[in-house]
Amino acid sequence: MIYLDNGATTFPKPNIVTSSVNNAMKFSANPGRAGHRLAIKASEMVYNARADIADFFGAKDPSNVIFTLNCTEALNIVIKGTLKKGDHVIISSLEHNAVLRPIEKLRKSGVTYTIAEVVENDNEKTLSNFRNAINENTKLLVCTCASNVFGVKLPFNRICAMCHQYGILTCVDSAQAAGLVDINLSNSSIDYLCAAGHKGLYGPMGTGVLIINTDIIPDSLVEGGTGSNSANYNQPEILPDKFESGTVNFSGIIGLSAGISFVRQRGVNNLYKKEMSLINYAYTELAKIPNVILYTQKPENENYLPVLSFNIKDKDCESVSEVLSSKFNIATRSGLHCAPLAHKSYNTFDSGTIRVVPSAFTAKSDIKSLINAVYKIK
Amino acid sequence: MDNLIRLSSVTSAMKARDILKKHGIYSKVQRIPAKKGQGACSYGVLLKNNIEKAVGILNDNNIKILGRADVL
Repeated sequence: MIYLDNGATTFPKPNIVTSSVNNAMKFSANPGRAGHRLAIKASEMVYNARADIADFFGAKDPSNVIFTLNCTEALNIVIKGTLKKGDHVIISSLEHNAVLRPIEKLRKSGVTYTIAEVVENDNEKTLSNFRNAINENTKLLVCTCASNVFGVKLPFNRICAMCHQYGILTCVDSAQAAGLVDINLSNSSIDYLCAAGHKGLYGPMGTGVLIINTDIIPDSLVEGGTGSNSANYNQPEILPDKFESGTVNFSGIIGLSAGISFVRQRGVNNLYKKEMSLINYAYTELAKIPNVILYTQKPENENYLPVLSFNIKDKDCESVSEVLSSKFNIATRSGLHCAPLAHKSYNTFDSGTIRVVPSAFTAKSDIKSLINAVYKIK
Repeated sequence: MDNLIRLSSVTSAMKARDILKKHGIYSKVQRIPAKKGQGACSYGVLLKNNIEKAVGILNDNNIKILGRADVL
């Protein structure tokens, strides 16, 4: 199979990830619970993974790295743990439902929000739109690094820096960007960084992280056993325990750490350049095919991530994706990609799109196969 | 006799161990048995010596110390 659905999860995973997960299963005592040798060994492995991730993102303290189920859970912790009745939050016009839905739920209990329009390839206008969205009750900004549908990148560091000038907390969704964009918390104004572990970081599914880069700690969403201060009926306030109730995804965490070592070895910038080269090739060739509809400008500068959406005129995106799979053995993702706001921004809400996302393992020949298949389908 | 520094969690204990190691003090992470009134389920670092210096270093690095004990 030619797998171009890496925006959903990267596949295949690097060998080091598979072997690390298998190895972790040999030390599968519960970390942070007991004092026997195997439990301490497991705790050590989780701590090392935490320290690796902190180092990778420039976080000041491994304790500030919270392991979550996925990026969605990390975003929910920040959004629901920070906002209260009367607060206002700003989000972008390209947000995923992982951001929109929790905020829409809070709207019913008195939180208000404003959607700031992202202007493709014009960071000044985008920044201005975010500035204009601020009001006296604005407490939090939540924005994605880049659209998971169209690859359009936001000037997220500048947006966060601007928000800090107004005393607004900042939360960045790096689901599609982590592993492809250099994110360094030590010199940024990002207060909360949310990342998927299983996309550009090449970890197993069921992994995500929240990195807290501020002294303002959200409320917990889930309370329970943490293996610490168990006589106290109240949830501990210490990090990461406050947000890690119940047994963690031990083998997943170890696999995520291995995925990050793979990314380090390849180099974030190298991965970005390689995948952008593939997406530019795909864009150029698809643009030559009659009836193919592309939605963005050519993604040839740093304002894009390697994510491309297209359609074929008068053909349903779900049907095209199904034919790509069944006749050509090419995996793509069709529909709304859990991002209705982004589709509304590009007038594709009614049609959806077919999304193509490469990975470190995608070859130019894979993209050529896609182009040939689209030629035949159109 | 070994010295035990009681800390708030296993993460805190491992972080403390790594900080002490950077200062040339070697310690071991250990689970600490529950004692009445002290809150069950905690971890700490076990040291052979340098206890006062270690406590100072951990305080300087904002590691919350919950208690100290001698261990036979």
